[in-house]
Amino acid sequence: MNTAIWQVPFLALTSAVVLWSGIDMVGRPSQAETNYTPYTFAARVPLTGWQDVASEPLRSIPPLLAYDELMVAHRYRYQNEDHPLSVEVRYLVDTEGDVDTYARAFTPERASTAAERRNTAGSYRLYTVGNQAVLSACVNPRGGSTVSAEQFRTNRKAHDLQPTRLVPWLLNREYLFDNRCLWTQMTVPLTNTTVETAFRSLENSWIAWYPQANRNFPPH
Amino acid sequence: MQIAPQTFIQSLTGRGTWLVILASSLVLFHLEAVWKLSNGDTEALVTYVLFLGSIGSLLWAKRASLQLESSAVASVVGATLLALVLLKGSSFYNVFAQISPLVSALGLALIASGRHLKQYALEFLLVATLVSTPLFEWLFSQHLQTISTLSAKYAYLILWYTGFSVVSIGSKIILPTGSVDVYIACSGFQSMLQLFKISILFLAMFPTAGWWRKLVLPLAAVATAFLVNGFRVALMAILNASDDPFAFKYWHNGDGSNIFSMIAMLLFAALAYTQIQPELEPEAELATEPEPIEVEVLESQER
Repeated sequence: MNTAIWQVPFLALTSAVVLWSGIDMVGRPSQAETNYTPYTFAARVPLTGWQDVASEPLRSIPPLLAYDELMVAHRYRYQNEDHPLSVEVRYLVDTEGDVDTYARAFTPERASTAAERRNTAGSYRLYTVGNQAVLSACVNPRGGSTVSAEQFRTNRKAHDLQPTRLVPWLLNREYLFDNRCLWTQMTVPLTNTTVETAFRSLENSWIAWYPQANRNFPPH
Repeated sequence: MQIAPQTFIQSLTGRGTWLVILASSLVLFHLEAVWKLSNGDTEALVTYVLFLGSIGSLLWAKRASLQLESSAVASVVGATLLALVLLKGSSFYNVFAQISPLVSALGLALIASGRHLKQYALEFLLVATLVSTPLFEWLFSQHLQTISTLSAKYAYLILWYTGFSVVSIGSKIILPTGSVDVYIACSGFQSMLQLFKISILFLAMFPTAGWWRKLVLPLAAVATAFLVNGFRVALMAILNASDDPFAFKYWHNGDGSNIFSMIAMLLFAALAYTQIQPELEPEAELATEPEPIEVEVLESQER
């Protein structure tokens, strides 16, 4: 067998790297499930047209969804003259992005039939619960906001498979499909106002909210 | 390959030795990776040990006739594949991690033999069988509910014939004091797939007479797994109805659940054992004394 001079060192080096990878794996935790960096929401988030009043972490009972995992939740309160606005954000991972499922899991009250609409920020649902008007949508890691699992999947396919994500994916820093969602519910009370006015106000707030939420999406 | 007595130092400068070291390192890597990825699933690990061990023995048996000449290009491509496996093969349970042993095998074969890949056809087939789970899950993704329902109906029959007062609706089994729903994960699909893989390994490793055996044995393996799983489902229904959560847990996903897959494997092993073609000695020997006892001994040596 005529063995080229580089072959034995090459094989020795390759073997060493493979062995080292195996040894390196011993200390690492089980990889059966996904791992995400814990996240804390900023205490103050400025919102155009609104004055921020307060914010607090939300103690949500983890939902019994199939795969979704709730990382952390936060509520922001805003005021504009005598109109209050509440923004509840839940950071969900390994999710399919269906906001109707979230609503069923987290909010016991029955909502009115939800209308789906779109604006420059993306898709969102509008509905009323009791004396409140609600806007509900997923802030996506990349792409516009979504409400259904299908829209979420479309966004993942369109925006997640980018060359810039190749290296982080190879080094196991990010997953190929970034199945995370900041499920956001904006709520205004329906006192001294019509449903349509309340919905319009929510829609404008969503356009103001979305770019910063998308930009400051939690790191992996 | 010349097999001559070598000193330790001499063997370190030979390519063959290093190929064995590289292959062993890869096997260790994959065994460890499957253990981590499956969250310590003994069944998955045992399947890997069986397959990789068998492949190792196949390769060792024919080491003298293997073409072991590679080019620089093939080596670089092979090493790139191995690098991809090392990076992605042990991270989060995804399709690539699942099929990474096949990518490893291709990388190793390229490094060892360059373009002479055809000599490893059987070994590639075995690795492909080992990692075929995502393929079969995809192929049967629309029919898993049907398998669940069939399992439930069959378990219902077992219970009904053993005298339980039992009702079956779809994939649900209802006993007077409790009911179980046979989820897709409990449908026996995984153990059917497991035994199917083992049957392919068996056919690759042992001589069997007739093409119909090669067709029937995999089917028999799947049937064995299904039939045994039915008893498991029936037991689950009884335990759930008897309100003993610890017993339920033990038999559902504790050590008890492994006992059923062990029973299925032993049953199939017993069946398969009877199907091994007695290895015939060269004619000269056979002509002199074709003693059945001799054949028995040969068989046990083989195992």
